[in-house]
Amino acid sequence: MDTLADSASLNRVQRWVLARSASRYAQLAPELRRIAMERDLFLASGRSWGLWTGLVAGTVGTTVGLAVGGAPRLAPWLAFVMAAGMFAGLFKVGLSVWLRPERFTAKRMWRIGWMAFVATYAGAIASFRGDLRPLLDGGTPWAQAALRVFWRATPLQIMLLVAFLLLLTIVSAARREYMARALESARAEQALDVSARQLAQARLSLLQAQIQPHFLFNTLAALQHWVDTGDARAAPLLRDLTTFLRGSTEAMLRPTVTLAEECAMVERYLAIMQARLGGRLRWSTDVAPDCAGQALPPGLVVTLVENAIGHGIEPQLHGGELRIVARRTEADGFELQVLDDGAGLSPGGAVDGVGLANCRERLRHQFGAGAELTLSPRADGRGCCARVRWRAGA
Amino acid sequence: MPERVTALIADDEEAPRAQLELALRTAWPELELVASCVNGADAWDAFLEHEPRLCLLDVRMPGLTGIEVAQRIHGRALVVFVTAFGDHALAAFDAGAVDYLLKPVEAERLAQTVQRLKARLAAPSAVSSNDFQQLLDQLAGQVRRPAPLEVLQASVGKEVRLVRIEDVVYFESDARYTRVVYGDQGGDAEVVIRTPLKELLIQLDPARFWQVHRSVIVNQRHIASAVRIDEGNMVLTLRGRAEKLPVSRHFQNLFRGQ
Repeated sequence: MDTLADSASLNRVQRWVLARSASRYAQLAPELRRIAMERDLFLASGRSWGLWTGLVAGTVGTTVGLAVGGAPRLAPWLAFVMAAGMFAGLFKVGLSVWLRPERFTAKRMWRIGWMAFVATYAGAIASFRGDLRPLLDGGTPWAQAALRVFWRATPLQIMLLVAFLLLLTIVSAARREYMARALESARAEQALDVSARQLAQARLSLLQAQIQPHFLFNTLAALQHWVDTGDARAAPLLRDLTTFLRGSTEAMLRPTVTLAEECAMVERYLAIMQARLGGRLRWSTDVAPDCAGQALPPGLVVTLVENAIGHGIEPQLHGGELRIVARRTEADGFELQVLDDGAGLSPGGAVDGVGLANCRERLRHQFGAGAELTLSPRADGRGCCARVRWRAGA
Repeated sequence: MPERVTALIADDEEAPRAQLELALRTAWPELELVASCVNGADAWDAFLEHEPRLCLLDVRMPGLTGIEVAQRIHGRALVVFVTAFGDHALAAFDAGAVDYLLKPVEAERLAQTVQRLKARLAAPSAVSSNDFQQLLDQLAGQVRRPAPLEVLQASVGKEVRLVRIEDVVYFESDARYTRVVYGDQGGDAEVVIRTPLKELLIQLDPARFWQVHRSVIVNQRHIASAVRIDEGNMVLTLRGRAEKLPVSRHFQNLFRGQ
């Protein structure tokens, strides 16, 4: 809305209106402020000439009608005041309906109609009070004339009142629906925006988790040294690093990868860590052939392996052994385990790091309640077991 | 003749360790490398053995982290941390003006560090500041430790004897083995285990088991008194036991009286 106000395309009237109404806008809620500004800018623009012409013509016509054709005739100034007041009132009500249609519900219009009707007649009777007694006896000529006019005008008055209130009700209902729809679509757009941002965030943090600077620079340090000293270990390490980085960057752009693809990535990762840690890391993978085609979120197993090495094996003075096992457990159930024989879970229980929390979130996203990730002490000895269970095609 | 400067380096990975060693030899040829350690426990033991004036420690190491080793060194040597970009401690190092090198170590940065270290070694007060110790305490507090050891398993002939840690009176290093002296219902007993003392140390609760010498860890419940023999020497007497245990210079401030 600020862009609206700042826009250089505004005419002088529009600028003046905006400047004058600034304090009024400030009191409105943001959505209402936008609508009010749009409305006022429309009214101050050339496009609203029809409306203004109608208002002026209506006022003039009514004034003339009241002053010339009315019975009894009104003084011209009185006719003008009445006509102008009526149209100003109509205009004001119209503006309100546009901005706050929720105030013009059918129920309220009905009530207002009754009250207006009763008030009009009560007012009229009160103003005739002085003439009422003679009226019972035939009345003064003026009172008889007024009563006749009043009596004749009643159906028209009721019709006008009903028509006006009906119009307000219909316009406000339409307007309400339009605003509700606009709000809903704005919300949906926002929700879409938020989920897109979350997805992008998840990908980014995954990529970061995958290619942690610490991992990358430690590997590069080893590589640098081996290149400098002409060590034969440099070439295979560089090849593994390249394959791993390409694979994980590529995989991150896809919603899922097969377990076989993921394991190829994991093996490159393990080869890199093996080169760095030497005899401190021992590892094996055992993926049953009927699991290889299963689709999983990319980077899931790499993250689990990274955790097992970082928290289980590296903190051990003499390293440890890592095993990856994937099995079909029942007709459509699968299980993947990453086992280490390292330090085990800390005494306070497992604390989900960013990586693990991310894994859980992505499993939930893909499988809903059909998958789970647990971290537990190994039943068959020292160390830790990360277990993922899921159902095919969930 | 210039004063000889001794140094210790520690990194659990072979390549960066070798790279640092090579870079140091080029940047500071007179420096005497007394130990090249493969983990934190090793580094602490080597510090006690060689008492180098300079320690270059990898931050992430098994056993004890570089931070924990520096904490134990407690200003008795100059410490330079070595780490890779992306380490959580880097921000703290920068904030605390702590010396550190990034892996792979670059010649230019190393040359600057060497200049700074030479200047600090030449200055009379090599005692590290309280701020530095506080920073180390804060960083060390973030390290997750597995629960301390509860039971030892010692092979005695064909038998595997289980010794509850709280029954142990003291551990004494014996070449590559560790002698465990403990009290049982049946009286005193002694077994030998294959775990070296320096590795055992990191598995014990430091509040209950005090290292008093490079080769002695004692259960503090059993200490009766500390007796100063002369300027440099101190011994411990134990409750209800005849033997005396030596307290080396580094640990004598454990016993200062109140």
